[in-house]
Amino acid sequence: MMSASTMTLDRLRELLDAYGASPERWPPAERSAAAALLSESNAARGLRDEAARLDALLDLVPARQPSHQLIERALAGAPNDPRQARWRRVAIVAVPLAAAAAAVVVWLMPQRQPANTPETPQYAIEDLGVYTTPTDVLLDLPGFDLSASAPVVGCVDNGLGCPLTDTGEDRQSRLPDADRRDA
Amino acid sequence: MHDTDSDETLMLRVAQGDHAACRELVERHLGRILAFASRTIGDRAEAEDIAQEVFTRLWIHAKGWRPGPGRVTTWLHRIALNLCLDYRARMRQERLDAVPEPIDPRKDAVTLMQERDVQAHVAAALQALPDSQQAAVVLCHYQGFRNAEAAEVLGVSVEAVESLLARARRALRDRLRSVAPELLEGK
Repeated sequence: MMSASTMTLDRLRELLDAYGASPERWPPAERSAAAALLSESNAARGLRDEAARLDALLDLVPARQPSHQLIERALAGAPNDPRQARWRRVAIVAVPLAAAAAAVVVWLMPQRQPANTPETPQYAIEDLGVYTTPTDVLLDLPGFDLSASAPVVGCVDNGLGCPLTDTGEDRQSRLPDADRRDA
Repeated sequence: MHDTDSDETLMLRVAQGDHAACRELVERHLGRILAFASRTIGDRAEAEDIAQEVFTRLWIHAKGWRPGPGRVTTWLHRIALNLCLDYRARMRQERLDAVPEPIDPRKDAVTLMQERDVQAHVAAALQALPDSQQAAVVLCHYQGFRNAEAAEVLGVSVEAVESLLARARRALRDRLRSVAPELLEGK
């Protein structure tokens, strides 16, 4: 450890020129000797005061605190929480397995379909029974007897709605006069 | 107790993917790194980008980090210093390429003082220093580094740091004396 006698004014000037007036910035090994010289010498204190004025000017340059946004930006590329990393490892295994299972199901679906083909779904049959086209509506007018409008000429099949003509006389009676003569 | 973990312990936790340790390191060092970059390059927005980049590199290299004689804060400042020096070199090149503004001969020192505050003059004087001198001042005066720590960041001897500091402070005093003599003379 240095004493005041080992610290010269020149060396103190060098310290002040380099590190400024604050003793905590001086090399620890020379602090006590410099402090001793300062306590004894007016010239030393003059040098220190001059250095302190430059320190005060330098301290005017501000240092703002980082914003919350900057903190989050700095953390953006940081490693994730280990719990999240574990879930990620699980996902790395589970997702391909799930995809493979889905692919197998899709692959099996067309092979099972022919077995179902002969069986017409019940709902489809029910739909056919109630289906009505626009022309059906026209033919089914209220008070209109479809069988009464069946053609007379050449209509011999009662099953088709022809009038019942059990006797040939009745059938001929409906023929035009010329046709009736030919008959 | 995580709150009192050393930087070195936090780095080991970061290497294991501990997000809480990452946040602790950011909260502990981001302010200092931002202040260092801001004073070194004199541009707040660019300083924020540099501070972010320092931590991006920390996350990348965390797995390969091993405890050693060097402190984490020294390592972070060295990364920040390199990024700042790159930026200053780019700015010097851009200034060389740009056409300089003509100096208004009617403006004397008093007028300049009226137009700008002392703080701006000091920041400008700091920016005008050569790279190594400026880095030495920012590390030792603002960041509170001891000369041996600054020497480690700068990659020079302790004696060289002292020489850089002395030349830097002399240059600052000469420059500021022309615009703020009353502040330096103590009158």
